[in-house]
Amino acid sequence: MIETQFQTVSTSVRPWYEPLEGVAGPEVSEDCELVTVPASESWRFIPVETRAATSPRVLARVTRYSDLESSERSLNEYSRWYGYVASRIADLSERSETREAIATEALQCTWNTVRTLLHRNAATPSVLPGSDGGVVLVWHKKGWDVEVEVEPAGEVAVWAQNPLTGDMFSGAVEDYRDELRDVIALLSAD
Amino acid sequence: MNEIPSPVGFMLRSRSMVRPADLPNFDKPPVDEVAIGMHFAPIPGFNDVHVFQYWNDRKDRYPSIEQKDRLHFLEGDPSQPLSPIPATRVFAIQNPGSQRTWLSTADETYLLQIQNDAFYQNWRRRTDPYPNFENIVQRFLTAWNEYQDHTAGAALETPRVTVVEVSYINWIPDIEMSQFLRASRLVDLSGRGVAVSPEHQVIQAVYPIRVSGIPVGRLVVDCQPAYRGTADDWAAGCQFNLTVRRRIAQGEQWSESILFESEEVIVQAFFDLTTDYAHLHWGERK
Repeated sequence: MIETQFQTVSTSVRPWYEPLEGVAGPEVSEDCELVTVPASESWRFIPVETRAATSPRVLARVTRYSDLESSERSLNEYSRWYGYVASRIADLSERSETREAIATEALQCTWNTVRTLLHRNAATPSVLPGSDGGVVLVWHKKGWDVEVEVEPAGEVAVWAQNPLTGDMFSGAVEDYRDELRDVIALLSAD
Repeated sequence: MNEIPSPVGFMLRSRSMVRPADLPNFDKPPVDEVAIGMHFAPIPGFNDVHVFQYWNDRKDRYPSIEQKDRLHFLEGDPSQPLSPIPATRVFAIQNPGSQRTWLSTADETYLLQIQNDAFYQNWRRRTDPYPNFENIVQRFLTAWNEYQDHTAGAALETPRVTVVEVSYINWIPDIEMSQFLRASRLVDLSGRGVAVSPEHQVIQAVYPIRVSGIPVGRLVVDCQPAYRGTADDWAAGCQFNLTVRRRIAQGEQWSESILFESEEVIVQAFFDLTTDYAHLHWGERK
């Protein structure tokens, strides 16, 4: 599988890319021949589109070997919390002197929770063993105390409080997903 | 060396780490990336946590970890005839149990790609020259064996390899496609006002690979103009890819000789498809 640092350019075959809502894509010039890409992104170039109808907001997609095989890469591949959380999940999967290993299912559930909650520049949570074989994600930042507890059976609960403002909510994450995302976005702002 | 007759014009040879003396060789090969991969049936119960465990034990060698979207293998069995109808491109963004994870060395030269139905190692040209295929295979085998040990240690099924893949990606910025690729100069046009040669072309071909008349895989060749670099500092050139995919039938065991046979197919095809001028340019060793 090829993972090059550049994109092939084809003007004879319409390259593959489609709009992706919510992803800030590269800017395409008026003639659709040139693009600029945010320096922070790994995409250095995207396929040139010769038709004027090119959307300036694109998710670059790589097509390899024409119809035989294709692959896609999104622009959300780098994050500041990924390595730490991955490492902590691996640590918690192993038994230590002070605790039993946490079940793989609970850790995978934790990872799924993290992946769906955190955008790539989100503030990094502490990842701690919870009670009864679960995992707790914790943020103490900008006046907020936030805990997301993943139970071994898969239930995910949130408790969040800001003593300075008096704001508070708690319950199942699925009931407070929007509120939780808003708070995490607040914690993540530089 | 055992030789197996093949109707594709060359001999597939059972080979070990010693490079055959008659295999074309260059002082300055344009190879920019080499990937070796295994496809297998999804491992039941395999998830991201297993990848993180694998990485945690090897962070000293692969300090960088990234998440990617999954690879979708649409080709199916490479030993079966190509469908006259192009494969449907489906990009379902879903959660199949694990994503694709990249583990990279500090210098980004080596990359492991892991998902629950595939394992790849890529060598990428960064600062060091091409280390030769034998060294890349040796490193791949170490990583692959460690991966299998890891799945066994996690009480998971051993991956049953269904496809072995070897890819060479060549980056050729310094000579025109018409100068290095024979197939790009098949015809000179004679129409009034029409240039003799194209100003842009994409060459793609798929060759079946057979052993004793039985299809076992495919060689895919692809050459097209490309850019590389950064938005502020870029260069134009050609990306010339050659990939071999070999099917591993049910009950058949894959062996490292398949990797070397695939490399031989690629190197010989590269040699056959390219011009004498290019061979000279890349420092062919006689």
